[in-house]
Amino acid sequence: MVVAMSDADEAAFRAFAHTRRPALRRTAYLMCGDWHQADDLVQTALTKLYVAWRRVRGDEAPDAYARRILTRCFLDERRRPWRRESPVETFDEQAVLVVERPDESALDLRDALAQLPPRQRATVVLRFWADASVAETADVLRCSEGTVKSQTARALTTLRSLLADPVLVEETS
Amino acid sequence: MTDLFDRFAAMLDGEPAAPYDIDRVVADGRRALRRRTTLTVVVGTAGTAAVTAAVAVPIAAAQHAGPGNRISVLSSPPQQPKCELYYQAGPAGKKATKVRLAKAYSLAQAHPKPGYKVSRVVTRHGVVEFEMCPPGADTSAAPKPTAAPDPTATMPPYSYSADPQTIADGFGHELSTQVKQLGLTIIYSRAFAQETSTLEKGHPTYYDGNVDVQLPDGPADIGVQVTHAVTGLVPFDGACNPPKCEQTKLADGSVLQVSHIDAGSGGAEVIAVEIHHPNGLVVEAQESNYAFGPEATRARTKDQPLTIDQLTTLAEDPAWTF
Repeated sequence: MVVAMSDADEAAFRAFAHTRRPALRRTAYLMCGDWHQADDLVQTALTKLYVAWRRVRGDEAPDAYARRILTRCFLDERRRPWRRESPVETFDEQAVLVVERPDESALDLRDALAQLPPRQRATVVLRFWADASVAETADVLRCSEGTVKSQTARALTTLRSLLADPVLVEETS
Repeated sequence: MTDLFDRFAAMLDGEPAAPYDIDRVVADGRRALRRRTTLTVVVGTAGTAAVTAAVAVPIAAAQHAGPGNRISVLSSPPQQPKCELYYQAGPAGKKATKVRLAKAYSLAQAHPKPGYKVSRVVTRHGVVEFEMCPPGADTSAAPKPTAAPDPTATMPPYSYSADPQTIADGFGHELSTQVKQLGLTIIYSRAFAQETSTLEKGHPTYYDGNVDVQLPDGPADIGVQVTHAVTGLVPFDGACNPPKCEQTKLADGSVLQVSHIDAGSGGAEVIAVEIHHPNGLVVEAQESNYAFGPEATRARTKDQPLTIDQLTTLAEDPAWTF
């Protein structure tokens, strides 16, 4: 017995992947700081989404599910001993595929983000880039809303201490 | 819209073209779906979507680590082979989990465990426990049926039958106790996080927490990470080059690694002591000469809060190894 996806489901998945992949890729890049790794993360996340597609379509919004998978893939990668991160003084430019040089403020922020622990980085990207609410972020990270708020506060404190210009955010829940 | 949002957007300037390959995604997805379907058919539960939730996560070897039964990674390895205990989270069948366990053991390359078999399956409090024992194991030493975890119980000791929050709370208590015993003043504590690693919807396989401590010239940080490397599929192959990193093989087969990591401007440094246990468990005690909590600033303390020996002793604390 083989359980395969129907043509209609697969067409729907392809449409979703085609539409949402750019946004997922940018979110992944902001989390990991490397376009190559961002592409790998999105590829992995979409593959997992394919497997769960029929269930996801019935239970919840595919977009939220994809974002959740993507974030967890990122955190899992960072947790493996051979990928364990340590904060560094400078970002490895060789590891980054950059077609055009970003402006100076982007470089500053990228360096600062690289010094945040992965969960804090994921938290600020989800909250202030993906515009996820505290509750949505807590669901993605499998933690309490209080933890999201404290992680956000810690991340912003660190960013403010590292960045030349103050970071302005509008805290909403 | 926020300033941070704008800065994120600026980071994306110059985004390279994506190597878009939806066909590869679909092909990979089909393969993954076939693998899962095949496994489901084997155990006679085809059509359910609960297999993913049936993942059994090894959360520990099967001996309780009570006050009178502590072990040290520096001592001789136990003479008696140990059983290991797995929990099944989710409603799927026990057979499916047994198949997964057998497959995981047979595939474990870094730490093969030949001869392990399921010796006991017990359902209690809605959770299925699988006990995997090697040939010659003393099953009388295996965990006894337990009552529901008591959140008010004094911790440690821990037991593998404890719920994740109890384990996390126990870790936090242990770190706080150990740091205070060294005469340091804690000014901030981050509760131990519980996270799954490679398996979804299972028991947490990773915990980490840290405390900031006050040194004479500023705040510094001490933390512990505990990773239950699932079925030995996480090999120990990290690069370690002297003099910044040194490894020592311990008597029980564990590998002790001490790393000095440059962590940024102003002389920021992280020192990490990792112990890679033969069963795949990795404990890392870490310290830095700067804080992570609300007091985090660019200030660096002259000294680290602990000596290497003290940090190693912290990593060797049997409380982390269950």
